[in-house]
Amino acid sequence: MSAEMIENTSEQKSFLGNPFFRRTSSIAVLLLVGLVFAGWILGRATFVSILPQWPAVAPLTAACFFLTASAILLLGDGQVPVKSWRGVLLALCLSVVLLIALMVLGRSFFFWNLPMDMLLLEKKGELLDLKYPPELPPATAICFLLTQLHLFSVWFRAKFSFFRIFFSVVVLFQTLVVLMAYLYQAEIIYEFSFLLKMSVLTAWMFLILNLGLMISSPLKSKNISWFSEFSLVSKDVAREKNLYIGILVVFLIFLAIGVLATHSLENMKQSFFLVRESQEKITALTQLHLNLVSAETGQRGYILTGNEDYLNIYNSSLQALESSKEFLNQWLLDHPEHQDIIQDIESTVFVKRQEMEKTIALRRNNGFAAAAALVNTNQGRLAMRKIRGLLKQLQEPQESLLKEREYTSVVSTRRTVTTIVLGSLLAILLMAICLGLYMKNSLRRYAAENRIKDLNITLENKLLELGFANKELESFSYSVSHDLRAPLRAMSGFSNILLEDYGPKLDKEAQGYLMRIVAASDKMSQLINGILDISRIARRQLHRETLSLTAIASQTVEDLRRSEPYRQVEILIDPDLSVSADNPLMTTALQNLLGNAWKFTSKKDLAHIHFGKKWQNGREVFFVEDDGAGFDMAYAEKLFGTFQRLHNDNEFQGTGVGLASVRRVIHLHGGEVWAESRVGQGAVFYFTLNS
Amino acid sequence: MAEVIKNSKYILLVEDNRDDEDLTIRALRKGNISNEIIVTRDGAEALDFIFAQGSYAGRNVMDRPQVVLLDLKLPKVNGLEVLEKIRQDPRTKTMPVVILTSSREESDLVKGYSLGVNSYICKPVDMAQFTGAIQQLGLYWLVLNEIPS
Repeated sequence: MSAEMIENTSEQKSFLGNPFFRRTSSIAVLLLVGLVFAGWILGRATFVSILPQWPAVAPLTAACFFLTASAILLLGDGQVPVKSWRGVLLALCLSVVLLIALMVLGRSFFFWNLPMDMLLLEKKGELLDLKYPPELPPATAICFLLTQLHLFSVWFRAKFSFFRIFFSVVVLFQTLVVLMAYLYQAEIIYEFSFLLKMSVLTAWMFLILNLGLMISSPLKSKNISWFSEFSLVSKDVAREKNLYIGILVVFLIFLAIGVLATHSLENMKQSFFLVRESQEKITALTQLHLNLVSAETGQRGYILTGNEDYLNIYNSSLQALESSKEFLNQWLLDHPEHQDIIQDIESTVFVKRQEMEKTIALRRNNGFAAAAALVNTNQGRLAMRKIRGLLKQLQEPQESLLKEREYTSVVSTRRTVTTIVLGSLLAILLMAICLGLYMKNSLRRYAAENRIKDLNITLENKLLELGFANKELESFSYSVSHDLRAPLRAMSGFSNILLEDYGPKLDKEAQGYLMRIVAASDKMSQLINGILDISRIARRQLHRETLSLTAIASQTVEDLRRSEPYRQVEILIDPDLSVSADNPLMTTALQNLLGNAWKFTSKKDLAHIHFGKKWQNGREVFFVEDDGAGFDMAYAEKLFGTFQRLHNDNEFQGTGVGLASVRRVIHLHGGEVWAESRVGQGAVFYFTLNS
Repeated sequence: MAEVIKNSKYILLVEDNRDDEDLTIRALRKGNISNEIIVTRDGAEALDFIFAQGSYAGRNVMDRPQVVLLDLKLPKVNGLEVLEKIRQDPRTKTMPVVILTSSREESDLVKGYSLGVNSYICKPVDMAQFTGAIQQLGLYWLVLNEIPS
């Protein structure tokens, strides 16, 4: 599997997830676990719950964190074979936590009765006077479950990295909401306790752990092999992934703000409503009193003046009292504990009304003095006083309640605003960081692209240079073939002319010298031809086509026979030897090989040459075999060297270039060439071609 | 300046190298070829001669050589350009031209034949071979070969 292959190269580590981050976060978590355990052992509430009214980290939770962090450290860089002791330990850690999480969830959902928490608490009897008994809440269990699944999928290199990220995202979201809730002391945690109830420290530990996991998370995709070809790019891919994680966290923060803000707004609305309710109640009580007072004023006015107009106020006020009565009935329903007071009020109001009726009737019928006499009994005044007192009894608690509620609503408003503002600031800060990272990434990418462009330009320039070099080489060869040969011709020619025209006049020695000049010129000419041949081979671009080696060999042999028709040579060429190769080059090679075979069998009366193909070690091998002079295998290394000869010119003429050319040609085709021989018993030259 | 020769077969040798010139002439003479040999030492001079211009103005253009032995590497104007000019002019188009050169380069061969050279001979270093080649050449083009008048 290509994914496995790539994981084994250290280059790809950063791209495959740097375990550094998750290791660091697990070490941080271990430290916090140590803190919690210390808190339980030493009896320090702050270590365990920060503030006493907050839920504490249960020892079981701490133990689970310990196991999880250890599992991450055991995991190392993700390659832990299941059968090793490390693998067993790792499996143990992960499974135990998974089991505990499932048990807790089972208890919450299906009400199984499992007393696990108590097990771990028996040792520490005292509960440190905490508001909530320490337990592993379902929210924590969910987070543990997801974290273990994430770790399992990293260990077994599960195919779909999406789920890993998804697990961590859910946990991150949960912890972020919880932390924000703690920060602003929102009561969400008490209301959505199923999803959100966890200790502050627990939330922090999950946050740290999962951030580490996400940043360290390996990327896997179908295109992995494509990525691996660009080690320049792979680190950038990893960094970009972290960038996306950052953006994701920002998104989650906004989401969390949204949730909290919505809840806060609800609270705000609620508290406004409550404030208004209290205010309304107080107003109603005041209104009741006011109505009575207005009635009284009307009554008094009438008594004093006898003017019927005053009775208007009296009547309208009494009518208004009716609604107050309804109000009192409602109050009775809301606050059954005030039954006595309300009955008292009603009866006293009734008494007062009676008194007022009486005095008015008296005034109407009997005049001022009679009415005043009744008033003077202070019945009315006492009744009023009593009512006032009773109303106050009702009003006072309501007023303090109002104060409380007003305070709550102010706090609530302030909290909402703060949540939104601070959360947004945090998110904006994070976005700024992300933007910075993105720009840095872009710059890096531009730099890489520029470097690629530069490299391309350099490459093109080098190619151009190569082209020029080749051109120069060609013109060099051209010059060589013309300019070097002309003086040679002159040397050889005029020496011959000397020999012809002045030969008789010269002594043997002089003639000898001249002949040696001629011979030397001829030799030089051959050498020049040899050099030109080799350089032509090197310059040539391989142009493969289907060739018949049989045909080429036959042609070569015909030429050889024509050049020395008197020789007796039996030549066997295997039929249908066809390959995919360059025509002129292979022709040169075969001419050299067959020419050599022809040359080195020249001393035999009847020579045998065989050109054919056989199978050796599963590959096709061509050979040219002769029964000529052969060569000493001790010098086999030198055989194919340029200008190297294993015989001198007296034995066999040659330039030492032929086999070097053959080797060049064969190597250009991607093949090999070698030879075997025994002195005096012929030689075999083998070659392969990479067809 | 060469004299005007009417109605006798002559050879035009275009060769810049004195040595090669001497060797070629000697070879021809050794082969019993006694025709006149006119030598021009660079491409420009050759063209002047063939088209009767420059220092050869006044010559009859239609008095054409039996064969032109043309070297390739010439100063001023090289052999292939001379060949091209010869083949472009209707008066000299049919003139037999034999390239006589040291170069065996494939590119020269191809260019020569595509320009319409009649024959391409490589000058061997070996004296005997050289002499033999020249003699064969001479015999063939002067004796055996027919050209329009």
